[in-house]
Parts: sequence; structure tokens; C-alpha cells
Amino acid sequence: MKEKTRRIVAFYLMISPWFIVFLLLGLYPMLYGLYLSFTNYYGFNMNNLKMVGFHNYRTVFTDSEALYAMGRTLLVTVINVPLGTAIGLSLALLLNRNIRGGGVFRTIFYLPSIVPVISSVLMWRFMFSNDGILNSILNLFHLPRINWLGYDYATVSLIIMLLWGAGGGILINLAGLKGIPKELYEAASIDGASAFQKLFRITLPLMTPVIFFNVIMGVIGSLQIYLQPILLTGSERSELLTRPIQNNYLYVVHAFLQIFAFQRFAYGMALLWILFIVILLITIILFTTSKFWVHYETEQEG
Amino acid sequence: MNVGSSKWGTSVFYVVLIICSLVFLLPLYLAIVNSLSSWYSAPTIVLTGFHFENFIYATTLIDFLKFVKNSVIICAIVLFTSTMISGLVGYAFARIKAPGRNVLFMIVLSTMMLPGIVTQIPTYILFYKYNLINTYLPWLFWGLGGNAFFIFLYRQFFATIPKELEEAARIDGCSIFRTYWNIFLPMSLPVVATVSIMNFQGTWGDVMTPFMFLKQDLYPLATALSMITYQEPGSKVIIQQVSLAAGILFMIPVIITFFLGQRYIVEGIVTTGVKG
Amino acid sequence: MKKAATLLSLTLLLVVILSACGGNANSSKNSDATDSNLSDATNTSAESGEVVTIKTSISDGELSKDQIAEFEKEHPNIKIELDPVDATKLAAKLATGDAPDVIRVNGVFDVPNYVIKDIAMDISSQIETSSVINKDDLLPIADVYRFDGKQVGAGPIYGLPKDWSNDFAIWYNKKAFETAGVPLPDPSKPLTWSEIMDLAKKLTMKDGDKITQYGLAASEWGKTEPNFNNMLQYLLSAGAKISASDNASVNFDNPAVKDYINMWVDAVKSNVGPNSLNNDQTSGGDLFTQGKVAMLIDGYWYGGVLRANENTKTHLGDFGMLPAPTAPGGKRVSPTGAATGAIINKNTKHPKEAWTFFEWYFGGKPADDRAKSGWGLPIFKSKVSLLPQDTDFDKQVYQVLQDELKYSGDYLEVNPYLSNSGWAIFDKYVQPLYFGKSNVDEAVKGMTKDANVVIQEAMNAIKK
Repeated sequence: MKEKTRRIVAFYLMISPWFIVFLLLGLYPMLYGLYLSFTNYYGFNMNNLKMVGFHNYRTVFTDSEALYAMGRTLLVTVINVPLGTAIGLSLALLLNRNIRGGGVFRTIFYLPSIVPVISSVLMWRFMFSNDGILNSILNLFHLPRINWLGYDYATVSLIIMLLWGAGGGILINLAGLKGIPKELYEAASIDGASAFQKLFRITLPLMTPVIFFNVIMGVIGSLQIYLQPILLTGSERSELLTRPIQNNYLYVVHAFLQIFAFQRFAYGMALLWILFIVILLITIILFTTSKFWVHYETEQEG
Repeated sequence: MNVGSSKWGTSVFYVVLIICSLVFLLPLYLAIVNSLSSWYSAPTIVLTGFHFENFIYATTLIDFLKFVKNSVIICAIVLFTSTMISGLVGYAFARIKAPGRNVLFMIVLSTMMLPGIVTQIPTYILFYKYNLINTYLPWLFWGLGGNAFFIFLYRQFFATIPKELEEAARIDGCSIFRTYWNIFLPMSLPVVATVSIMNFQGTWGDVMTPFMFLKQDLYPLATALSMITYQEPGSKVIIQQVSLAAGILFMIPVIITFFLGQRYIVEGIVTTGVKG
Repeated sequence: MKKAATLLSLTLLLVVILSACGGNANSSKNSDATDSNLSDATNTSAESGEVVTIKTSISDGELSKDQIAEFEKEHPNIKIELDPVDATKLAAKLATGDAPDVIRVNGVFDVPNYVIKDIAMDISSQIETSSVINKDDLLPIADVYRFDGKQVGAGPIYGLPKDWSNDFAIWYNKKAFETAGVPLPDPSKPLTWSEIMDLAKKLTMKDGDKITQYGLAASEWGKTEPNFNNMLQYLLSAGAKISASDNASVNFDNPAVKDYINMWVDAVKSNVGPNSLNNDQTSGGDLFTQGKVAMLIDGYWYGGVLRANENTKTHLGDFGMLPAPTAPGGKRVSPTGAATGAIINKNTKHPKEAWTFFEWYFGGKPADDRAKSGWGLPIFKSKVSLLPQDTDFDKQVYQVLQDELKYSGDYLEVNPYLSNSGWAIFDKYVQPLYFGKSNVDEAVKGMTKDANVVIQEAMNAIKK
């Protein structure tokens, strides 16, 4: 058998565990979920479903709330992902060395991703409140107080809170930095390269696969945010039934409200399938750009 | 990379580090302070007492140990299988060219693009038909199938390993699998450690999946703490102080794992001398 | 070539699996239907001696391990299993037919909805013949679990509340009234909501810019802002109906709705409590127990909080309850805003055993335990006297309660198709009003439009 065929067989064998489980446990629920989005499913009428064709999908495009929420979600993503990626990488660069107490600091910076969302959001609500820390700081500089959770600043606050969790990327970034051969830096030092040059000529280029990973996962995650805005500015009655302030009304929040508050299961699923397509398209676009800036050792065409 | 080469630089560096740390420590600090307060007291930002017995109540008012045991079982099932299989799949996507690879990889990623609620009900129906509800078998299957997030992560790391190495192995007559097992995997231990830590953290902290497919007796700790409240019999208010104490106990294994793991990644092993 | 053959067969295998899955998706509807037919066929009680498991979504805080053990000892043929559900899990379990036998519900909002969805079992005849639950002993409030297809309070009985509260009553802190130099209102007759708002403004104290004491908190957990439940009580008192008689549509463009919204938007702008404008994130309950707010809207059960809380239990004499306010010129009503309880799943495989458990939980010893605890009101006339009456605080509350009970036989007007949706729709259109981003006419129009979409879709799904 030819080498090429051998490699192709190896490829399929190696991915087969994932593929088989996907076919058995992943695909059927997805197709079933897709099917439900074409019915009048309402949470209890599984035995009495009626096909409604593209009705739910057409409704999405006439639903001004859904379109508004999609806009807000894209906005939050466009700000959150680049900043979050940059912060995660900077923290890792800062802490990627043998310093006194380095392990403790690294652990502390990672804490936001360990603490359950509910308790961290609760803390932020108090930080953002009228007498909270942020307004106290403004006070210190004789600046007027801000209603951080009101109409005008709620999205800023949401993004601050999301960026606070950016330390969660520290682990992946550290592993990435560890993978850069020390010899490269040694050789550069001998050539008299400055720290700045080393960062831009060695570290960043070799970190692009990790940065790419963080960007893709950031986009996939950001477009699906729902818990933080609900907890930040919704009332506490019951998480999934409350509505955050208008400016933080994100797309998945809208979909979840349809399902949990209004029992419009089918419509909510249609909304989420459209989101799926949006995320897929953005991901494919990002992948096609990857060959221009992501450094791989093998060819990864798109 | 020597920002803090001077004494001045070092001090500034530490001041910045400490200020940042305080911001990150705040939720944990508040949790600790409040978990040590007396029952039904108002939320506080300063230490008001040392009611360490709250930690004992946290483990006795509910079947804490049973839920810990369930968590350990689930984590044990998922941790090894998913970490290993994801690596294998990630390697294939990173290093072997085959028709359909890109489409298949997009399918891997696409499984993360659909909010779980769409598939939860159909998955329940599927599991119900095959008697998988109220068993840990789904976790075994999910583990054996690998995890999309980790497959992607592995792929990114394996893609950076110099191709000369692979070619050398090929000339030596190494099979593809042996190249992965004997060369790529040992070189990627920081990644394996990263995946293990994140895998443990994700499984340990998952609330909704176990809630959906398991009955109360089989809940892991995360689900139990979210669904079962600390209350006195008949009372309608949660004993927040005990709840927070339980939350802290819940986080300890994750914090310890991370602390040990990051040290291993950053300071521990010396990677094999690979020339770029 | 051997390996190529392996590859080929693997691919074929996958194709087979793939098509099998596709087939499943199409046929699942049929198989589900047969499942439920089967369960109908086996809808007979288990033979005596056989142990039957009854699953319930009543939470563990409401049904303790000791209580379960006690029940299982008395009924060796029945095992109780706690089976908590959320909306998704319940939907999935209804689809597979393994939903809990006894389903926990919010009486006011869920029951009519579950009845039209055909999930709730009619238990009228069981109650009629029960030796544990005496139908004549039930307080009018229990009828919130009756629904005749159009209206709550009449028709078959579908369940019972485990307890309830006059959720729109006012709790006061005497000290805060003294600080503001305002006399306590007479607890024997209700104030109107506008009088409450005036009082709240008087009770709100400022030191320069800083608010030192609030007048009113709208609930123990949230901000002092209007909400849908609270509006329903106002409308009930004002005699205003927003749903059409067949519940097929709803219209918020009603003078009483606008009065209610205007009154509250004014209260928010006057900062009588923590709200989105002043961005005070302390919950109403925390403010009240710390003596920083004079009045709190909450039901009888809140007395339990005051008895337990570290800050309040030492000076309970400072606190007391006032009757639920009325709309200006409206009639006195003190309905429940929740009445959590349970229904029996219509498709239960063990109706007899489910009823045995139901009867015990709602009429037996657990009911007595709940009444004695003072964390809610019983549904039986004969058990009212079990409520705590030891301290002066208990006595004051008990006294006011006697009057309130006479006015608890009116029910919030709940549209069965709208069910829980009202809250989110209401919030959506009222929130912008605080910030001056909309006006009340636009708000009621928007609410009407959104609510009717939900109603229409619900009706389409329910139609056979």
C-alpha cells in the first residue's frame, strides 16, 4: 500500500472515536433539534407536533428584538474577544518566569474562571453600585458618579466584567509559551536582539496558533453569552425568566427568554440555529484568514 | 524578556501584580468572610466572626460526601478518556492530510456553536430509549469521543512542532501512531497537563449536564450545591453562610489542581532540546 | 489493499449508522405516540405488595428526608423519589413519559397553564371522598387550584397549595417610622397604593445627597420597581380585566394599567427604594432587616425571615404587618401571589399511590408541621390556629391576618396562555420609562402586542 493511502487510513482511524460518538450521540440530537425548530413545539406537545415549515425562521427576520440583540451581541464580541485575548496573553507573558511567588500569582489570576459565575457577578454588582468601588475611585478624582448599571454604561460594565475573567486563558497561553524553544531566544540574544525584538520576532509569531485558538474560542463563547447580562442587571427572581437592561439584551438571552419565559421552544430553537449559522460563518471566515497570519509547521489549508 | 531587570522595575512589577491580585481575589475574599459569619446575618465585607462550624454544617446538612464521591466517579471516567482521545484526534487533524479533513474539523468545531438547550431534550429522549438516564455511561461515551475544545487545542499545539522531526521519524520507519505516541506526545506534556487541568475543572464544575440526565442521588457536587439548598427543616431561607462555606470547599480541589499543574507547566519539566 | 478494504467497510458502517439515525428522527414521533398509548394501557394501580416508586419534583427543602422516611414506614408499598426538574427537563420528561408523578407548581401561574396543556389530573373526586382532606375545611385560597377552562376558582380541582401567603401585605419597621416622625397607619383597614407611595416618600430620609432611610422596598430580593404580579393585585382591586373572556387575547391599554405604571414610575423617580436609577444594589430584604427601609411588600411568610434573621430576631416588637393595600377607590383584596403546591401528573402510571402521597403531604402531618413553623399559611381553616401566637409580634401579625383571610378568596387574573410570560414582557416595556426612553402609551401598546403573540402561539400549539 502506498504511503499516502496509509496516512489517509491512519487519519480516519485516529479520528474514528470522536466520529463514531458524534454520529451516535451528537448528530441525532442535533437533527432532532433542527426538526423541532420547524414545528410548533411548545414544551409539552411532543406527541402532537405540527410542521410549520419556515414559519419560525421567517419570524426571526421580522423580530426586531432578535435583530437588535444580534447587533448588541456582535458589538460585545468585537470588543471582548480582541481585548480578552490580548489581556490573557499579556498576563501569561508577565507571569511566564521563575519569580518569587509566581505560582501563587498565576493561581490568583486564574481564580475568576474557577469562581462560579453567580458569585462573581454578585460581587461585580456591588462594585458597580452607586456606592461601589468604581464610583469611589471616580470620587477620588472629583469626577461625577456614574450609573454603571443604567442604560448608558451597562454594556461597558458588562465588558469590564467579562475582561476580568480573561485570566482564564492564562493556562493555555503559558503552555504555548513553554512550547517555544529556548534556543531561539538564546540565538537571538547572541545576535544582540532587544527584548522588544524578541517579543515581536519570536514570541508573537510562534504564539499565533494559540492566539488563533483563543480568538476562535472567544468568538464562539462570546456570541453565546447569556448568564452574565441576566445576573448583572436582571432582577433576581429567577435567572432565566428575567430580562437584563435593554443595552445588555444579547441574542441568547432573547432565545432563552422565548423558551423559558414564553415556552416558545420551537421559536427559541430556530433563533439558536440562526446563531449557529452566524457563528459557523464567522469561524470559516477566520479560518480562511489564518493562512496569512498563523504560523503552522504543516499546511493547514483553511 | 527581562522587564524587571532593575530593582526599581522589580518593585513596580510586584506592586502592579499585587494590585491586580487584589481585584482577582475579591470574590474569594468575600466568600470566605461571609462563610465565617453567623447564620442569617447580613452580607458583610469585613470579617465579623470565626464560625468555622459553618464548614462542618456544609458537609453534614446535605449528603456532601456522597456528592463528592459522585463527582470523583464522573471526573475519573471523563478525565483520562477525554484527555487521551482528544490528543489522538487533535494529532490527526494537525498532522495528517486526508480528504474531508477540513470539513470534518469544522464539524468538530460546530458542536460547540449550538447552545446546549437545542439538543438537551432530544438527547434526553435518545438516552431514555437506551436506558442511559440515571447512569454514568453517557460520560464514558462522551469521554471516549473526546472533547471538541481539547481536540482544537491539541491541534493547535501539534501543528507547531517542526516537521523535520516527523520526517526523521518516518525515515526511521516509525508508524504514524508511534510517531504520535513516542515523539509528539512526550514533547507536548505541558499541553497534556493544561488539558487535564481544564478537563478536570470543566467536569468538576458542570452543573447542567448531570442535572439533566441524573437523578438527585447521583448528582455530582456542583449540581447538588446548585439544586439542593442549605435550609433548616421547614424554613424558606437559605443559610447563605453555610452555602458559601460549601462553595469554598467545592473550589478547593480545583485551586489545588491548578496550583500544582501550572507549576508543572511553567517550572517543571525541561522540554527536549528541539531546534527550530 | 487490505487496509483500503477496511476503510471501505468502516465508511459503509458509518453510512449505515448515519441513515439509521436519520430514520430515527423521522419515526420518533410515532414511537413516542405508542409509548404514551402503552402508558395509558398500563395505567392501573400496582398489585398490593409490589413496591411502587412515586417521583415528585417537590424540593428537598419542602420535603425532608425524615418526612419521607416516616411516610415510607407508614406505606411500605410506596417509595418516594425526589426528582427535581427545570423547564427543559420537564419538557424532556413529558416527551418520554417519565415526568414526575407529583409535579411541583406555582399555583397562581402554572395551574391554568398545565390544565390547558392537559398535564394536570382532575382530583375532585379523590378530595370528595378523602378521609384526610376535608373539603369543607379548605380555605377559599385552595380554590386557586381550580380552573374551569376560562377562570380560576371554579371547576374541577387540580391540586392543592402546600402553603400560601397574602403576598401583597406591607411589613413595617416602627423605628423607621419614628425616625421620620410619621405615625403608624391603622392596621385594621388597608391603605390605597397611592397612600402607600405618599407614605414612602415621607419616610425616605436624606442627609444631603445621601439617602439614609428608604420608604419602601418592593420585595425581599429585588429593587423597588413595579412588577407584573404586583400589578395583577392592583387590577384585581380596581376591578379591571385585561384578558378577553375566552383568554384568546389581552389588552394592556387600560386606565388602571396606566395608573399603576404612572404611580410606580413616579415612585422610582422619587427614589423611595433601591432601584435602577439610584443603582443601589442592596436587596430590599437586606435593607429591611438592617433597619434601612421603613416598609416592605411581602406576605405572611416573611415573618419567618424576621424571626430567624440575626439583626431582627432580638427586637421583633419593632415589626408588624399591615393589610394588602387597594387600588384607589378599589375593593379590598388580599390574594396570594404564588401558592406553591403540586398537581398530579395526568399520565402517572400509579394514580392511586400518587394520591396517597399527595393526600399525606397536603393534608397529613407535613401540613401541620408547616403551619406550626410559621413560614406560610395553611390551606385548612382548622389549622390556622396552629400558626405561632407566642410573642407580641406573632400576635400582631395573627390579628391582622384574621382580617386578611376574609379577603383572600379573590384570585389574580391569570391568562392561561400567557402563564409566566407576563413578567418579562412587563419589565421590557416599563424599564425604559424610568430612564425617560419611552412613554406609558407606547409601553402598554408594546405589552399588548408581545403578549398577544405569545398567546396566539400557545393556542396554536394546544389546539389538537
